Amino acid sequence: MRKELHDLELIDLYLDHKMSESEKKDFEKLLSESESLRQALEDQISLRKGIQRIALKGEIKSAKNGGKGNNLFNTIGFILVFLIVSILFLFTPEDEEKSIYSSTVTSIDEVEENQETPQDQETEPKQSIGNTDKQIAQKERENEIEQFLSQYDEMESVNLDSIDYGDTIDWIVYESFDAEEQVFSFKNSEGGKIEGKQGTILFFPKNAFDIEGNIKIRLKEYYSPADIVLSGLSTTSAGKWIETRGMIDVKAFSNGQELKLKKEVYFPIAFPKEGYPSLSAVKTFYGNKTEQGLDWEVDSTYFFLPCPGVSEYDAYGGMVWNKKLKYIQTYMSDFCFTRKQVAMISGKLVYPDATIDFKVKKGELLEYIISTDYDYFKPILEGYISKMDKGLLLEENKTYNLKLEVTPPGGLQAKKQSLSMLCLDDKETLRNAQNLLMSHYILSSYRLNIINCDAYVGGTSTVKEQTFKSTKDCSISVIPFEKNTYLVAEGSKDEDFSVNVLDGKLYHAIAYQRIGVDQYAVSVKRFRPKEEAIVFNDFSVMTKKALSKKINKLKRYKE
Amino acid sequence: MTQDQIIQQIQLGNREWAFKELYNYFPKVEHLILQSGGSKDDASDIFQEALILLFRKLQKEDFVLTSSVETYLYSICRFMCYDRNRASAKQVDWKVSLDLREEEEITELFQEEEKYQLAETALKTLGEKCMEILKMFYHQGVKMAEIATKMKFSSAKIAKNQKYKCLEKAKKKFVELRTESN
Repeated sequence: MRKELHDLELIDLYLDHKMSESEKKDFEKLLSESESLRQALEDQISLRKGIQRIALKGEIKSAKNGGKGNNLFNTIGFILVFLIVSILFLFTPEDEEKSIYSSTVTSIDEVEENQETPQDQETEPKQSIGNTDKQIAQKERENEIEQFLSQYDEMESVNLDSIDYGDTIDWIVYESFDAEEQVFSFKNSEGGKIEGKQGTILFFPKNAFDIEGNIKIRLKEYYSPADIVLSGLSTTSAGKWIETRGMIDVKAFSNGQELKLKKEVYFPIAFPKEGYPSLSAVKTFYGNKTEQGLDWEVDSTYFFLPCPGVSEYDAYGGMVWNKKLKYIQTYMSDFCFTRKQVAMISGKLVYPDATIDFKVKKGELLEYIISTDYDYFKPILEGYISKMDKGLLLEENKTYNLKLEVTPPGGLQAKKQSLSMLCLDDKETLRNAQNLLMSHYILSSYRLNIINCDAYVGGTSTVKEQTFKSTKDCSISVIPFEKNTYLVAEGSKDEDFSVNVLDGKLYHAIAYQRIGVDQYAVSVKRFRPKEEAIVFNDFSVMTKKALSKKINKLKRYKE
Repeated sequence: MTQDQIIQQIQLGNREWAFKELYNYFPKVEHLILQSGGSKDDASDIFQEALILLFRKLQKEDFVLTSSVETYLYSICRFMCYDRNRASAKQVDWKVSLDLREEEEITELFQEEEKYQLAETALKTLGEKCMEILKMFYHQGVKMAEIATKMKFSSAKIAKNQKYKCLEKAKKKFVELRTESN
């Protein structure tokens, strides 16, 4: 059922022209290769047109009954009916009145029950839609889990005759796997744009480092569940769950020495969206290694971005941008909306609901794209429509009006918002930037090393400690069934392992250990939190490729 | 309302208003149908169908109306009446007042619509709540979360799954009907 549902969703997106160019191309390729998908598309077109027919007929009927010539007849008809009903009401005994109406009224439930086919009655209990939502939801959930897990259960392990399974595995502990290191270089005075193999793009501005000469960047990317798990990465921030859309580890070197970015330099990072559903409210998180493991620290420093020329800055955030840019540069700012909230444009303060005039000088800023994720904070440049779909070519020495509009008026000290400003040189870059904004999350960072593109996981649930026992030295990762969050159980074979999980949820726990060049001992359990420890005592051996495939399937990641 | 206004209203989604205006042409169509041996019900059905085909025509990206809306509508009705009479072996004499391209186009529209009529028949076997979900989603463009609230589902996901089940049921019936008609 999952595949058919997924295909249907794709078909609907295609028919509604909601796919990007590349998505459309990929889908059309799939269509050309699959007869069944083509047929499914044709059927869906017909069914949608059929639904349209039924709806249109309803509209036509309403139009017909509301037409000029019919109004008089309707009115007379209504009066007659009213008179008849009144007469009946006055002169008909109660019992007969009931019998007139009860025989003509049919409940929706009755209609639905009558229309259920015998096949429906075999597979599902006879019930009206909406009456037992909880039961339906529960059944849906169970079916979904079963469907999903049935594909997971197909093991792909290596049949190594020379190695026994279980207790007799030759348990030699190898160094844990890490992602491939990619190396790039650029001149510090020119800045550089780096594109990782998995789609990450980093934009280093000119003179981001305090040295002369070439900069060597070493980049590792972690997107797939397998990469994240097998590298021992987790996604919690001060005990809170965060959901990831990708992590990187980026280091800069010059002449063998590791470098740090200059103070107050931010560089944008574009994390590709492909592979997972789109996530809103993503932020930059920095990885800090602690005694308890990896913890993610949210980047809140751009609350306090310096605003040159402003001595008093009574606000929680702001933005500054450089006019002389050769490539995409974003400055992110989180706003708490109060009347005191300000923004800075070209050195001037702009209050919400106010406007600012500014001019462009030749050779400087040519185009703006202003984008915002949230509807009630809109920067409006005259003649420009926000939401990334247009750019406005600014003319030299013409005065423009830029307004920051907050709705409702006065602002709300409620949610934090973010604003991206893209400053570009030419139309081609503009087009590329628009495409990039559609395909990537664009964040900024003032630090190197491990950086995560995440959003906090909402909702409330009781936290419970789940313990694990293992008969072998291994690492244990715990993956919630739903969110793209990763937990690492702390502990060891001798002291037991434990991890804090949310009660009632479904998880997979993966105990693994690299025991050869391309051999992993693995044991996977699925569980809901319980009092007793979960024991790993039945390991299988498989290659890294097979294990990666298995882990990726747990999150239904694109292969 | 002028012809252009009618077309604009249909394209903007303000269809009921436009259909109400177009019903001014119904008496002429009714007269035609009755004259050719049809009934008042036939006339209503044909005119309704003609409005649907007009809607389809206006939805096409490359649509061009060389005749007036009234003429086009009338021609569709005439075509359908002819088609019905041909089926019942009644002889009627027709005058052609459309250009050949438009005549061919109506034939094409009509043939395409037959498939969708079959889908409509299949969909009508669904329960009222199924149809409500499908109409809200596909015709009115209502988001799943709102459908979930209106139909009292516990979540948008449940509503989505229900929509899928309704569609699958209709599709099964549609395939059956299509096989039978082939």
